[in-house]
Order: sequence, then structure tokens, then C-alpha cells
Amino acid sequence: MAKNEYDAIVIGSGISGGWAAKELTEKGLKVLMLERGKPVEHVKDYINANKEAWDHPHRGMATNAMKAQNPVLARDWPLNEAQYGIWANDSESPYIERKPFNWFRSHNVGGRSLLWGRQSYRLNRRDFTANAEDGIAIDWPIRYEDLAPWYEYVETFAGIAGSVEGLDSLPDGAYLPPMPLNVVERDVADRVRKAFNGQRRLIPSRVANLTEGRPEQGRAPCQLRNKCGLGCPFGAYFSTQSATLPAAMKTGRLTVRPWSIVTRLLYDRDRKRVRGVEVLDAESNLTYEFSSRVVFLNASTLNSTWVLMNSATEVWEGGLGSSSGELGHNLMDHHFHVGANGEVEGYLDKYTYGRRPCGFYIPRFANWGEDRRDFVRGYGYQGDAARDGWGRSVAELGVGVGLKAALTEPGQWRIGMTGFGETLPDHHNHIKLERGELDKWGLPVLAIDAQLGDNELRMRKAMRADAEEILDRAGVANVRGFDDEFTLGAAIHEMGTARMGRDPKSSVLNGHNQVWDAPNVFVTDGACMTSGGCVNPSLTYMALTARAADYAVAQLKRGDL
Amino acid sequence: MMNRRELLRAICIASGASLIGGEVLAFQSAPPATAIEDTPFSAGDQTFLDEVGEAIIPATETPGARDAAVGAFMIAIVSDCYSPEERSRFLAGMGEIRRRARVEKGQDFMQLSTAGRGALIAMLDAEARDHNAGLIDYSQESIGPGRWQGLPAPSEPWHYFTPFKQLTLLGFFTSKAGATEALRYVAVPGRYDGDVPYQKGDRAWATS
Repeated sequence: MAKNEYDAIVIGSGISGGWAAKELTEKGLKVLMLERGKPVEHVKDYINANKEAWDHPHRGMATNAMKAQNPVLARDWPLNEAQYGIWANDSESPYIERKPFNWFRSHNVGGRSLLWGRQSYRLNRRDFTANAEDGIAIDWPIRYEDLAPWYEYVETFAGIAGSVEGLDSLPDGAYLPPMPLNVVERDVADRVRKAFNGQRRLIPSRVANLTEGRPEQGRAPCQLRNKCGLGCPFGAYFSTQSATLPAAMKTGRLTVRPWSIVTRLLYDRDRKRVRGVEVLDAESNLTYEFSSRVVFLNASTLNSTWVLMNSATEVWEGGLGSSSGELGHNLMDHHFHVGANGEVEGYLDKYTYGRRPCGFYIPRFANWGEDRRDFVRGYGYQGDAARDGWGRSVAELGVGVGLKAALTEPGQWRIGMTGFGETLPDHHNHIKLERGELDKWGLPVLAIDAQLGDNELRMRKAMRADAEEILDRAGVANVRGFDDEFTLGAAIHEMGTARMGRDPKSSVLNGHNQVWDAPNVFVTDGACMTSGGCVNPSLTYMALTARAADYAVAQLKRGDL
Repeated sequence: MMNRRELLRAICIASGASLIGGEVLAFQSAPPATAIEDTPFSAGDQTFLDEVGEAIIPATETPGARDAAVGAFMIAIVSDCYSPEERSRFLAGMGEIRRRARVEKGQDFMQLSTAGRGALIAMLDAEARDHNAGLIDYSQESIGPGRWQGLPAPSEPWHYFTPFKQLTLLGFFTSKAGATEALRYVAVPGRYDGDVPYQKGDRAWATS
């Protein structure tokens, strides 16, 4: 079947898969992008993007029927009427929780690039050396300097709004003008800087929302509707559909095939290379083979590792990459739902116009410089300040005209924030293929067995206390700390399970994201992460993907793959 | 055997064309609320709930709860989102409000004047506030759509009247009438200004 031959196959169409397709096609390769789920056409298919609460049958809230179908999504915000259908249906996508793990997936062209939080931060220099310094897990095979030019490359194309701050703990990038802080956040930022001698800072969020148009990409600037998770009709936030897919399509070298579940990579044990992939067509149930010279595996962290585990089992029982003993291990997320909030007195003659899709960020300060703790690593905070709306406490207002009059005006200002903490790579936190447990396609499902460790639990105490202290010292009133229950997976930052390293005996991938046992397979999504840092990881996946694609094409040209 | 879609895809792939777009949408419209005929509620109940809501959020120079059809909203939420226990309690609460109208005012709720309904609902609201005091941390109270689902007010030990008030506020301020006429709404702000003057009396934004 000559028709089924490509230079490269990209498995997955989310943030990293979109980047792989863009880079590989722009460098001249004929690429097949495989997506297990539905097609999603930019703008046209964002059918809820202009709806408000009153346009939904239950004002956006999940019904009992939705909860029954989606017991995992029902644990958190993804289950709602505005995003109906875009998150993978739990009933059709089973997995086993050895311990509670929220696995929120999206099986569509674009994947979670349509749904992501868009916060875009660089890892810092020490994030790449921390494992070696702390004697935890293994050293990253790359350093910040290896990735810095690629961060700049992806930031420039994606369009990241942010401010240049000159902080070691949060390196600056190539930014569009920031989404500004509001009047209260600005004053709190000044007070925080003074109270902590500049060691703690409150800065604008860095987000992948355009603050200047990109006519050459067909993208308008953000219209401040704060409806990003419904798909943006203006193409203002970075997604596969708004940015990387059109660029790849423009080359004329991309084929996208939705409804294509990759069941395994086809391994050639003589050449120690993968020769292609096997695909189960989700509509017809027919099986196809596609061949290529290289494969980029970007199916999202856990599904990429699933593909590896189900591949080359005739050589390694545990699958391709299992010779390291680490395939499926060192699963990470960021832990959050812990922080503080309080009331800001005054500013009652101030209000805001427009709905920002973001707020402020407090970069890492714990275990940084002179700051030393009883745990390793650190955390950043995300939050915002706003005037209370109609949902505020109103018991004392009774009912009737007075209640209505009060609630149709804004209330006082409130500020709140939640920390995002690093979780350590721990061999015990792992996923496993359960060969006896099959989904509707007859494919084995994953069992997830992971939990927060002592380091994270100690860190959470500090995350709460520090949030309280920051707000207190900034003059915020009635500060209240919180530590709501956190379930791993809830940050939707799954990382690890096929980590990069310097040694095939302890890592699945090398320093260019190649599987040691099949160097023409590149894994550049969250699976590759050797440690997690404390910042939102997608920007790092973009940079790693662009870097790996550049390397792959150079190697192909040299005939080394 | 290839079906039509398989054939189309084969052609697309053979010709190098990309197949984007299809019959099944990823983002979908959520299924409609259960029709009132299939709920435990009657048309009379809907009118009754509209009037309970109206006593909580009355029409003034802007629309009130009746204009916002909070009765239909309450029926949709109680039928489709409440648990069976919460639903039973809500239905019992409707009976209790009706009973109290007869006990306190000597008339059916629907026969009471606007002022009479207002006085009764104010009395029940005060009872609920006293009952809930100590049970509920009002500084944490929120009935916004984001946090509402976690709030246990429809069930024991919260007062039976509390869900009626909650659903009225939620239903009114997320309705088109409430959001665009009682509050302020701009579909496409187009810009952000984090420091605009505010004068007492200016209406709050409907969406955040």
C-alpha cells in the first residue's frame, strides 16, 4: 500500500502534536497526523463559543445524567453544559484507579489545546539541575541553555502575553504586551514587593492569548470575553486549530486522519527502528498500517506511554522502552487547591471593564536564594482580585427590593490565589497495562497507581501558610487559608512515565526525546518530563517538540535515522 | 467492505487531501431539560415558584424573577440536577410554604396580595437565617454558578426555604433578563481596563 507511506507520522493532535506537524511539514516532510477522536474545524465547530448561561438548559450546570455518564469529570469543573461533548466520555474511556487519579482527556483534533489554561512559563535553570542536586530520580540530559532558544522560537510563534521581570526563578521570554494587572492587584503587587524586599513578586500572568493581532496567522487579538475553553472564534488563544494546524496545512504536506486509534508501533527488531504504526479505525473497526521513517508520539502523557507499552511486546514483554525499567513510572502532576483569599478594603470607586482570561502570578520563592525549607523544590501562585458579584454572602439582606438593589451593584474587592506545587518523580507512582481489562475496542486499559508523597504534603502546609502571609503583609483583611482535598491528575498536568535521561538503563528517552531502543521514535509530550518544575508545562512541551523536530530532520537528512 | 465514509476518507488520503470536519460534533449542545410533564411538577407549581421567586427578587424598574421565568428554571434544576433526596425535600418545602401561607395569612399563597406574599417570604427567610446560623459560615456562602454545586443547602440540615432563595438568585442573575437588564452585560468587551471609575448605583457586570 504505497498510499500509506509518509516521511513522518505524528500521533496526537494536541499542543505537542500540532507543533510536531508544523515543524516537520515546514521542513519539507510529508506528514500523517493521527487523532483518535473526532474532527474539530476551527471556528465553525465552536458551537457554544457565543453562548451565555441562559443559552444552556441548566445554565451550564451538569445534570445527573451527565454525572452518571462521567463520574470522573464530575469531580471537577470539566463537567458542564458549555463544554458538553468536548471532554472524553468517562463511560467510553475506562481506566483503573488503584488510588484516586483524575484523568481528564479530550479525544478530538486539537486535543486539550482547545481546553488548556494557557498559562505559559519557562522552566528555570535550576529546574534542569534539581534532580542531580537533590539526589532525586535522575538528572535531566539537557540544560536550560539547550531549551532557551526553542522557548523563544515557540513563544514568538504562539504569541505569549507577559511582562519582562528579570527574575532568576522565572526566566523572561519573548512576549507580547502583558494582560495588565487591575488597580487592586497593582497596589497589592507594590506592597508585596516592599514587604518582602523584592524576594516575592506579584506579576501579570503569562498567557497564550494574543494582545496584538497576528494577521499573517489569521488571528485577532483577545476580545476579553473569557470564554477560551469553548474554542475562540477570533483565534486569539494558541491552539492546534488556531496556530499550528493552519501553518502545517499551508505546506500542502499534511494529512490529518481523525478517528484513528494507534494500537501499536510496528517494531523492526533487525533495524532497531519502528517502521510504522497500526491504526484501529474508530468508525469502521478496521485495522490499517501506515509506514514512515520517523514517528512523533504526542498522544498525551499517559496515552503515549500506553502506545509504547503495547508496542514491540514480542521483544520486550513490557513494551518499547521498558528495557529501562522506568516505562510507566515517575508519574507526576502539579498539586494545587491550596492557598488563601481575603478582602481588600477600599477601592469602592474603582471597577474593571472586560473579562481577562487570566490574573496574576507569584513566581517561586521557596527554596530559592536564602529561602530554605523542610522540603525540596517549590511552588508558584495563580490568582486574581475582583469585586464580588451577585453570588456573595447576602443572608443579612433578606428578600425583596433591598436585596435586589444590593446585588445588582458590585460588592467589595476580594483577592485570592492557589499554589501550584512541584511533585517529585517517584518510581512508585506508576501506570500499568491491565491486559485482562479491555475497553470497547478490545484494547487493554491503564491502571493508575500514584499519590502525593511526604515532600508534597509538607510543601502544602507551606503553600497555605505563605499565601496567608503574603496577603496579610500586603494589608489584605480577613485572610483565610484553605487546603481543599487534592486528587492527583486534577491539575491536568500529567507528566513523566517515559522520562528523558542520559542512560538507557534508567531512562526511556535520550536528550533529543528519542526512544533509546528505537531512535526514530520521538516522544515530546508530557511523558518525557524528567522532573516537573512548578510551572504549567505546555510551553516546555512546545519547545521540546520544536527542538526534537529540528534534530529529527537533520538526522534524516544525514541518513542517521 | 468500505462504507461511504471509509471510501471518502480513502479518497482524501489517496489524494493527499486532509479530512477535517465531519458529521459528529465535538462541542455539542447539551440535552434539553426534562419537559415539565415528565417531572413531579405541575404547571400550577411553576406559577407558584415564579411567585415565590418574585417575592425574593421583585420587578422594579428592571425585570424581576417572574420575568426571568425562575419557576421553570427551578423545575429544571430540581428535576435534572438535584439528588432524589434533595428533590423530595424541595417538594416537601413547596408544601410547607403553601401550608404556612394558610396558617399565617389564612389564604392560599396564590390568593395573597403581592405585599402578603412578600411578608410571608420575608418571614420564612428570617426563619431560615436563624435556623442556618451556626450551620453555615456566611462568609463562605456563595450561590454563584462556579461554587453553587458544592453548596449543601438543598439537603439537611439546612432550612427547607434556603434552596428556594438560592435557586431564585441563581436563576434570576443567570437569566437573559436578569443579566442584561438588571445587571450589565457586554458580549464582546474587546479590551481590558483594570482601573475604571465606579459610582454608587452603577450596575455590576453579569459575567466574569
